[in-house]
Amino acid sequence: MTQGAPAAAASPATWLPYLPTRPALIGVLGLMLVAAVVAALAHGAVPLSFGHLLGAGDGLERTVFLEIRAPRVVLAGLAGTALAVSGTALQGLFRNPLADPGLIGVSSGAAVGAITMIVLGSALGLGAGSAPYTLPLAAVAGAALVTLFLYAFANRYGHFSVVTILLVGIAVNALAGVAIGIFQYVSDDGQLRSLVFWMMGSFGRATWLLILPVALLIAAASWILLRHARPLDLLQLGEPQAFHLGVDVKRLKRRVIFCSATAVGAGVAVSGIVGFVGLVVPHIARLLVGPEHRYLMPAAATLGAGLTILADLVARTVTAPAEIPVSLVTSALGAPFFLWLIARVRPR
Amino acid sequence: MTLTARGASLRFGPATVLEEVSLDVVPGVVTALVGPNGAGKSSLVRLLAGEMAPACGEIRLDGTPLGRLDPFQQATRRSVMGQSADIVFDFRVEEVLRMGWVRGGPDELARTTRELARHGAIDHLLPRRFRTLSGGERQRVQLVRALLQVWCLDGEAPRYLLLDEPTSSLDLSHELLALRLVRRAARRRIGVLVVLHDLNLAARFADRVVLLADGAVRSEGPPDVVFRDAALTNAYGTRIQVERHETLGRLVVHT
Repeated sequence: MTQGAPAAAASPATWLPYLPTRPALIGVLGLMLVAAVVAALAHGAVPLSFGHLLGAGDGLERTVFLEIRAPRVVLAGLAGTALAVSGTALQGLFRNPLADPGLIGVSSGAAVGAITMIVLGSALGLGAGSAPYTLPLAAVAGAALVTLFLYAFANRYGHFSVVTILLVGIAVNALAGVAIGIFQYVSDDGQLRSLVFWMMGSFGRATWLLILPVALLIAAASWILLRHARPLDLLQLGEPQAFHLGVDVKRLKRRVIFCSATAVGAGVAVSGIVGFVGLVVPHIARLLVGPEHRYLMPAAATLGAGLTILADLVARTVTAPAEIPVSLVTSALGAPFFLWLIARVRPR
Repeated sequence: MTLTARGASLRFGPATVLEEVSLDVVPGVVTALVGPNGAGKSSLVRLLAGEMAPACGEIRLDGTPLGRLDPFQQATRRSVMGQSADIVFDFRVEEVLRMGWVRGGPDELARTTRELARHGAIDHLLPRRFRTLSGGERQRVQLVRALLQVWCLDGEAPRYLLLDEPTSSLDLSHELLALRLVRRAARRRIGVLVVLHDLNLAARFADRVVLLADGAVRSEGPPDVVFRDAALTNAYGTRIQVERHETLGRLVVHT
C-alpha cells in the first residue's frame, strides 16, 4: 500500500505522504516528541542542565524540575493529545475538515462547565479539596452537552453540512459567551482571576494531583477513539455505505462524540481553552500519513503533544520570568493556517 | 437461500412509496429492477439493504428476518452499491477498495483486488487519489468495492449484491464492462439485484426482470415475458415497442 510515488505528479501533497512508510513516519514523530519534551524540561525561567534532568541537582533545581516543570510539560502533552485526537475523530465523524472542538463550541461548553463549578462550587458546599475531581467532571459534562446538542440539531435540521455545523458552532459559542459573561458579572475578584485563566489557556497550574484524573480520562478516551479507526474510515464513504459495510453507525456516533467530549473536557478543565490545536494538528498529520485513521490518529496524538509542549515552551520563555497565555501562541500560528485551509478546501 | 421481500410496504408520511412488494434475490441469478422515476426502486433496494424497516411485511436474509442480524452479520452476506456521497478526505483508490474488504487476510485481499481491478478496468487508477477521478471512474471504483465485499466469502455460501443504477455515469463500453462483471459475480453464486434504466441492458444481461411502477410490482419474469409493448407503455406512460433483433439474437426496446 505504501509503494513509491504515484505516476501523476500534482501538488507536493501528492507525493509527500508516502515517501517513507507510515509506521516509520509515526516513529519519527515520536522521536520529535521526545526531543520536544527534553527541550521543554531544560528551558524556562530557571535553566536546568541535563544533569538536573537525570536527577542530580538539589534544592531549588530539584523542586523546579519535579514540582513545576515536569507536571507542566506532561499536562501540555496530555492536553495537546486530547485536542488533536478528538479533532481528528470529530473531523472524521462530521466528514468535515473544518470541524474542531473549539470552532463547534465543545471547548466553550467545557469552559462554561468549569466556570460554573468555579463560581457556584463553593455555594454547593463542595470543599476546595474536591476541586481536582469536580472541575474536570463539570467540564466534561459541559463538553458532552454541547456535542450532543450539536449532533441532535444538525441531524434534525440539515445533516452534517459544513454550513450547518459552523453556524451552529457560532451560535453555541455565542451562548457560551453569554453564560461566561454572566458568571464574570456575578463573580468576586478571586473567581474572576480563575475565569480569565480558563478563557486564555495556561498549563501553569499543573500539579501531579491535578494531572492524575485528567491523564486517566484522556488516555481512556483516546484509546477508545483509536480503536474505532476502521469504522471512521468506512464512514467517509457515507453513512448508508458505512452501514452496508457492517458499521453500527448510531453507536459509532455516540461513542465518538462522548469520547471526544471527555478528552476535550478533561483537557479544558485543567488548562483552559487552547485554540486551534484540534483543528490544525489533524491536517498536518493527514498531510504526513494520509487519511486512514489507524495511522492518522497516532500521528495526530504524537504531533499534538509535541506541538503543544513547544507552544507552552514559547509561552513561558519569550517574556520570562512572566508568561503569555498559551492560546495566544497556538492561535497566532493556527489562525493563518486555518485561512490557508479554507482557501485550499474550496469546492472545485 | 434467498434475500426476500414479502408483502413489504413503505410509507413516508402520507405518501405510499411501496405497496405489498414481494421479490426474491436468488444466488447465481441476475435480477434487473426496472421502472419509471419515482416507482420506488431505490426504496426497495434500501429495504433489502436493511437501511430502513418496512411499515408492514418483512425482509428475510436466508430465512432470518433482517432485524435479527446486526450490521456486521449483514455485511458479510450482502453488499450494496448505492448512489454515493463524495469522499471529503484524500483517500487513494486502493484505500477505498480496501474499505470493501470486511473479512479475510491481506494476501487474499491483494489477490482479489488485482483480479477485480483487472475485470473492472481500474488497475491504472489504484494509486490515484479518489477525489481526482471523473464521475464514471468513481462509479467503477465503487462497483469494484461492492464486489470485493462479497467476492470470496466461504466459497459457495449464499451472498447478495444490490446495485442501484451502477451504470448511470458510465459510457457505452464501460456499461458493458460493468454488466459483464455483474454476470461474473452471478457465476460465483452471488445473487444480484440491479436497478437499471436502460431496458436494452436489462434485456441483454438479466435472467429475470421485475417491473415496478407506482410502488407496486407490475410484472416479473424472464425479459421476454416482462418486456411486452403494452406493459411497458402502460408503466412508463410513453409508447414503447419491443422487437426481437434477428442478427443480435436478443430483445431490442424502442421508444
